[in-house]
Amino acid sequence: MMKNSRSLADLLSLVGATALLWMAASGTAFASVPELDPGSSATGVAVLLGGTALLLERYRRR
Amino acid sequence: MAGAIEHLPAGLPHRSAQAGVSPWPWRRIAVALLIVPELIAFSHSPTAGALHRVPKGWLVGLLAGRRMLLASFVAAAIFSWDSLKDEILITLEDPLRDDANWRVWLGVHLGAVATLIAAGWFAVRMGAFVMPYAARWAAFGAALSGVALVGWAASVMPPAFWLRWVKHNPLAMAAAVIVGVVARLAQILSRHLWSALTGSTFYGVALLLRMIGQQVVVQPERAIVGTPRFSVQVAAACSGIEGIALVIVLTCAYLWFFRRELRFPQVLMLIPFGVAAIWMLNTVRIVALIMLGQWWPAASIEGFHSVAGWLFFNSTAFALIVASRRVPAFTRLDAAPARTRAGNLAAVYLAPLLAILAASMVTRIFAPGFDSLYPLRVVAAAAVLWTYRKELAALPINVSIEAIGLGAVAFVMWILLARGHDAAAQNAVFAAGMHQMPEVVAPVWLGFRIFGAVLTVPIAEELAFRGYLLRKLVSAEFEKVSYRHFTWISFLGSSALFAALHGQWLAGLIAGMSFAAAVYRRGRLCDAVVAHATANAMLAAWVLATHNWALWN
Repeated sequence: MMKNSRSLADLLSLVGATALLWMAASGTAFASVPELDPGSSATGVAVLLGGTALLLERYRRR
Repeated sequence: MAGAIEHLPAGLPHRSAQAGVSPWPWRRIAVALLIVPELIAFSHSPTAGALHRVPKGWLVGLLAGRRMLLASFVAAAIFSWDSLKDEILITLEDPLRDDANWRVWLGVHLGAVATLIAAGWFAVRMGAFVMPYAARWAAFGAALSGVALVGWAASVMPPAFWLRWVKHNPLAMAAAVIVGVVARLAQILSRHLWSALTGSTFYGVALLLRMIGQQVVVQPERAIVGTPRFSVQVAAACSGIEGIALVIVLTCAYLWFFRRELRFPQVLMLIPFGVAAIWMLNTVRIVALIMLGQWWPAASIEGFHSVAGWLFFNSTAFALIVASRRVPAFTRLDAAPARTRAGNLAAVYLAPLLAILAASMVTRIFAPGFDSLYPLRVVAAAAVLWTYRKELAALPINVSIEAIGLGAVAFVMWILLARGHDAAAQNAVFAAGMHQMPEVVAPVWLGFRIFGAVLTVPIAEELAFRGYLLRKLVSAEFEKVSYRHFTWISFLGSSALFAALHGQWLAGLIAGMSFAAAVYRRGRLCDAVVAHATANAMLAAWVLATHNWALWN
């Protein structure tokens, strides 16, 4: 069971990396997305990271 | 191999110092960083400009292939990280290991770069960047770039190091190549996906508008949809494909990172859930854009349009995280959140800044351009700080002259290094916004702006960056880490993220490092707050004196 989990997790890393590289390769196409202007994306990413950290701390084992 | 390094102390500087060698591999760092000014110089050179103007052909394929090669290298490093990290540590432990010829390799690199510059200059001068000559020049340039890259890599780390890395990680190498090829194929195939997704989003918006009782106006041939009073064109960029890609990337990263705490394969359901949710929310976003545009077109187009995507995307991401932790089928752990006597300690440090950021996203919808609703950010931050007043009161508070001095340094460096994007236009927008305010309101707004800059922002940002992040990058149990605990990763990492948030890489990095230095000196967070408040107070005085309002953006 644990071995299967490991394999699936590894597969996930491949899927995620592929999607990330695809986004990087399509950079010029994404440049026209309004949410990706520097001001909006800086705030959006900061809220995403901060909110995620807050949630993960809430569920962290102590 | 792994056993050989298990007994080593955690920090590289400590270990190397014990071995009696230079605590940091400065030569390798310097050579590694050499490629940064080279790439910057090349991207601004006439050669790069000429390459953009050449007709499309296999040259474009070559350039795209170069990008995929780099991406595959990064993927290989990620997939084999544990092994690569061990190999790096072992090589650094013995600086002389396999490394006798680094000067030769550096010479090869510099020679190739010099030839590349000279050849590019010559080709531009001779007007050679036209087909079919452009293709030959590109092939020559690619070969030289390859030589330069090999020379650079071999001068940073010995060739034997790279060969060992490849030899010990055949699966990671194969996976990286597959990822690079699949990503390239996905890029080609997704051109068709964009138009298909745009079509489905278009009809989804029309359907949703009818469901809420609106009279719908559609022009399918131009992808225009809306109501008689306000309609929008669903462009390819509005198809939602970037949200879908981001959800896939972040969900995969999250599931992989927390794989030991989650139940596989059930938890994989979150990926299609996330994709479906973000696509539907994108449709809701466009409908909301149309509805808002009917009575406030400016807010809809200039404000909501650039903010709504992040609001919906972040909501989806947070919902997926909560689902992965609260649904028993997805989690191996107790589904109930951790309960401690002090509650969620991170909230004390993160919530004030999150309140400011969330308020700024909301105010940007209704006040695009000049932020006339800035006081709401101050009120939001003050409300959260008041909520946590008991926890914050426990932090020791006293002012030190050194903290004020570090704040002054940060201010001077900010003035010298901060680079605004189109500062003249920003100043004009700000001046117009102030002018349009009633005479009674303008001083009150300015008072809130200064109060926010000098008090609520420094407290909120220092709680988040120095109180939480600086210590979180040392240990997961950040609350047990002393403020005086220095590591390069936490020092530079927290400062770099501070710079990224402010959109000022160099000025922000130096400011972040100054505020971190204030914390390290006495081990008190209040010193960082004082330094930050001092810098912002001086900046406010400078802005008011010079009317260079762009510095406040």
